[in-house]
Amino acid sequence: MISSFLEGAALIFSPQTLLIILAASAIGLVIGVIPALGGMVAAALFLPLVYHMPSSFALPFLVALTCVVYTGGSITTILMGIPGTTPNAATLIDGYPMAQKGQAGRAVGAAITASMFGGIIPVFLSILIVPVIRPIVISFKAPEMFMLILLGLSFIAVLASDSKLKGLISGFLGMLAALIGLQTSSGQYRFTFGIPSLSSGLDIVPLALGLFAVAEMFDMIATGKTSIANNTASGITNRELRQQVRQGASDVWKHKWLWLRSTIIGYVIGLFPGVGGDVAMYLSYSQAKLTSKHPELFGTGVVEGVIAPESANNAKDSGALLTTMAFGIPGSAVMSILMAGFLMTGITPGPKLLTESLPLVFGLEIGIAVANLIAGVIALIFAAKLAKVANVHIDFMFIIVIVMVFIGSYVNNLSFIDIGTAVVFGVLGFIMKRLNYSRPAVVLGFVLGEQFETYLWRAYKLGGPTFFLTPGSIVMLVIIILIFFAPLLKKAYQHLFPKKEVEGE
Amino acid sequence: MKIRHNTIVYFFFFIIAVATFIGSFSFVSIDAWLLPRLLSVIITLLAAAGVITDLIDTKKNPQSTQRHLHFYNKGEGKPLLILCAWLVGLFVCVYLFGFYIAALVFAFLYLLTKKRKLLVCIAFAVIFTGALYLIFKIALSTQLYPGLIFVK
Repeated sequence: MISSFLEGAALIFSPQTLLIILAASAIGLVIGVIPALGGMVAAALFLPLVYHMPSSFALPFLVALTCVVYTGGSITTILMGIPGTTPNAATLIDGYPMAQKGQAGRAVGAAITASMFGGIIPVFLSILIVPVIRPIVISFKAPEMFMLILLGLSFIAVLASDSKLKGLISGFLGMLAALIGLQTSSGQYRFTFGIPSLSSGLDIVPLALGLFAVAEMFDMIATGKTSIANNTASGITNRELRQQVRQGASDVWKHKWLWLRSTIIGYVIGLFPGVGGDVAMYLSYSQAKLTSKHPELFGTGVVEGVIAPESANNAKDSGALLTTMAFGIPGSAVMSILMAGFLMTGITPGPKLLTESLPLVFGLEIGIAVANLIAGVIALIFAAKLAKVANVHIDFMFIIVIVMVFIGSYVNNLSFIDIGTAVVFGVLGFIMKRLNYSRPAVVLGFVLGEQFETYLWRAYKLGGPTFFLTPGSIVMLVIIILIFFAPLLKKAYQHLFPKKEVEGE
Repeated sequence: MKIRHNTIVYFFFFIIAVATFIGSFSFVSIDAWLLPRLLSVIITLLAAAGVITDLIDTKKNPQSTQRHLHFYNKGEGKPLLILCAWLVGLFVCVYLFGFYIAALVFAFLYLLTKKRKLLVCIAFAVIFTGALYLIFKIALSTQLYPGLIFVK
């Protein structure tokens, strides 16, 4: 195990790889700062760049690019009151009020430091957890894999959207899109309408690019936005800002236990397939509020409200990456794109990766830590300058994003159908965004849907109709049932054991 | 009674699900038809529930100003249509002239219609296309589609 870790470290600490991670961190930070773009768009847009890279460069690049996006996103969230990326939304609750109170630098300093160390510590958690999950992963056969996928799908359904109905529809629509193409176990083509390019099914990259990048461009242009103004740090001198950033960084040390708790929460949430960053952030924000000595101040601009979600946000990627690599099931929507990157470079995520390529697994986990460190340092130095990136005019952003979407969609299969897919899903993504459907649920439904069917038939052929009666499957089935019936159980509990009213109320 | 976009989209998903269900009858093997049928039944039920609850709500609160009921507001339709036209134009341009020329023309014309200075339009279009060429052709040796009229 230690030797694998050292081999992984050697993989990352080569000068070329470090340079690649540095470049990816810088790009990821800039993308994160621009509202509307995010980890998903970053990964999908830059996927064409890694086609011709060896896997030892391509994978650290993609991993670094996607995991630092949230650090950049926190800057925009705090200074401008607009979440740079969706999972930064919880930081908004206290980060923006802090900025309005003239503590922009402190909030940014705390967010970046919490993000940076939140992304570093999970590497050590992974070292501890890999020996534990390795035998579990190896023991997983088709029935357990099927149940794990079902578990991921259940999480999407319950957690993906404000509206449960829309969250469910989004996930199932993604699964429906995955039906297109060849059904492997029967050898039948489904919903290809005689178009040869559709015989291998829809590609995840144009689908994600459409749903996120194109949809965001539609949204920004429709609302007539030109750029994002109202930079709350504009009234503060550079010297004051630097002092505040230092204060914010020391705040993280003052609240080290909160930071550690949030980091662990983020990491553990990340381990569950299908559970996104939003859950990790809001959960850690809630625990910060619950354990605070002054919960009533949350929402008015307290630094703990920034530290907690930001630590969890960056920590969740390590967990999600581990799940993705170990089981071949994406830990989050962004990981679905990363999985495409893995396959593109000839590496198939799954149990074999954990047994045969453990140095790569550790290497990529270390890559996340290094990228977070680099991004943290860059962001701490250039926070104010980075915030200006968000002011890039929509006219220029539109051209760059749309052309990159077209190229990114085309390059994988050299097919114009993929460009069409990106445009169609762009329109759909825009409608879904406006009507509050969950777009990450579509992506996860798409990826998990494909695997759902494959493992369903494999498990069925292996164990017959009672294939789910293995110990591992039963445990996961119980969890799935609990997920769906938790609200009912809670109501029943409250009915059976009503809270006694406090006298005088 | 003005129907909300939300209801129309639920109905659209309902139609897709029903079409999937009907389409699944062309598959012989159970491996091929089970999941499409299962999914289409679930989506049909969910979308039907959405349509019904939305119609009831529309009747109760016809002037509801709640968010997430319409996907475009007054004045947003035209820019959206223009945007779609730009995408179709770029698609045709890429198909005919390839990525590099299409990017150059698209960047130049788009900025020109946004009333940018001619020099800015030219400079941005050239720098942007040059950057694409440097990244894809020189650095990554990726052969992007050259365009129908340039295909050898």
